[in-house]
Amino acid sequence: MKKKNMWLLIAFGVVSLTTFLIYWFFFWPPKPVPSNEQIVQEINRTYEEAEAKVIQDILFVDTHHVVVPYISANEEDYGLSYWRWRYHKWQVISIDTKGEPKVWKVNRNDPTSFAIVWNAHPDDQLQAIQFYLLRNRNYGMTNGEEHYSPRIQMEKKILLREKSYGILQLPKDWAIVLNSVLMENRGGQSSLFFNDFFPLQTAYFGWLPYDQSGKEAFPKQTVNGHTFVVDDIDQEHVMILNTVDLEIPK
Amino acid sequence: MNVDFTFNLITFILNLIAWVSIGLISFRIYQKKAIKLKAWKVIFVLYIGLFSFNINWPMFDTVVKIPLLPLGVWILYFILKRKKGRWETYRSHAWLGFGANVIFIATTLLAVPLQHAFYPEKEATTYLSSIENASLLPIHPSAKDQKINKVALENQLSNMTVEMVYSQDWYEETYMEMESNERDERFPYQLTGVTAKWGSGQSPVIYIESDGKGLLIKTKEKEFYFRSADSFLEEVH
Repeated sequence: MKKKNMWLLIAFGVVSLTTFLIYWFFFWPPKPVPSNEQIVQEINRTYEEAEAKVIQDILFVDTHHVVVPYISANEEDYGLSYWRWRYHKWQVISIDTKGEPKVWKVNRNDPTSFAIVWNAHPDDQLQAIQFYLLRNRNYGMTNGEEHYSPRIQMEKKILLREKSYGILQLPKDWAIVLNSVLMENRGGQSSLFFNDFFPLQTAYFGWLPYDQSGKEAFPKQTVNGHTFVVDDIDQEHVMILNTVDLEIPK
Repeated sequence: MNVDFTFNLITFILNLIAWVSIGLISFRIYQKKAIKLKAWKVIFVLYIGLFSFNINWPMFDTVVKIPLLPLGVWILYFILKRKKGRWETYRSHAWLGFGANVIFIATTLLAVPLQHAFYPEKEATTYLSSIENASLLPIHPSAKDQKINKVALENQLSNMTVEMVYSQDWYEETYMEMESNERDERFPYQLTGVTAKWGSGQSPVIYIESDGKGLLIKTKEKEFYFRSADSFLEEVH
């Protein structure tokens, strides 16, 4: 009887220890984000060419995902680093040497989790950025059935003020529209015949930067950076636009 | 989270009927047999018997799976024949599994007219059944500051007519008649917050025409263009 009790005790101990370890490893709530020095060290250890020196801020996408804008040692680069709390640690998962806007798709199937982040170089003297959700107008015929896709052009203006960086959680309306586009395209793929003449039109993101006088600008210090990806991350490029790419009805 | 949960009532009921009848036939065979087999073994053999090489034959807006080779039956034969007499006891159940494919062809074909009868594809009420939470979402700068007039929409719905989707004409009109960057979109709004008729299995994307009298409805397979006599949009004051 005594022996049996001991075994029960051991089994209980093993089960609770395993449960605790699993919880500790996978489900432990995020600890505070590392200190600025630790972040700088980690960025430079991961990607030497980033030459990070100054941490500007910590931008929370959600409790488990943060974006850390940084300035390089020679102040030529205003970059972005992407961090995730997983397996009981904060890990840098991607580093951009320039702060050209990008969409971080935290959960690729849920557009409400998407966020646009940027870090514009002050030398570009941007005053505002207009962000766009776009889809090109399209028509075609599949299997004798005509179809038409309206153009989507939705916009959201951001003022830069004193901060070079920022984060924009995808507006609710954009998420709804983006979901619909995904649904439309899913239908097209399961069509019975694959004689679609016209490729599926997917939605994409764009940005139009404005300078201090409110004119279109080309931010040459902000674009053409390098990206160093450490771990799986879903990001989408935000296309730089000109006014001619847009429809401005009277 | 936006889960697109769609429930197709017709398919559900027909599949239920199909499985119940397969179960009944299986039970009759079981009763006639002198040797009493274990129920889970019969179900397992039936299930493996279902495996077959099919050709997918598209017809009447659906895909019919025509079974050609009884792969499952062959597998069972090679496994069961090793013990004398074992194959013979299971044979009819295995073939019933293959035969079940024919029952499923029947349900697939039967679903088409039933779907048309209960959820007519050329009636707007199939796609816009509950509109209490309807709201207008501008998707293009040519959209005006308008909102949906639910009473007007409700009244128009049953009288809306299906028109041709003149996709090429619409596209060309937009491009020919307007300056390159002053274009208006023909369908500058999306309609959100509406649900399709319960059990239709549809979760369409719906666009509204700029004059407030047209609906462009996109289902997974098709696209429909409905027109109403009067506008169901109104100015926001």
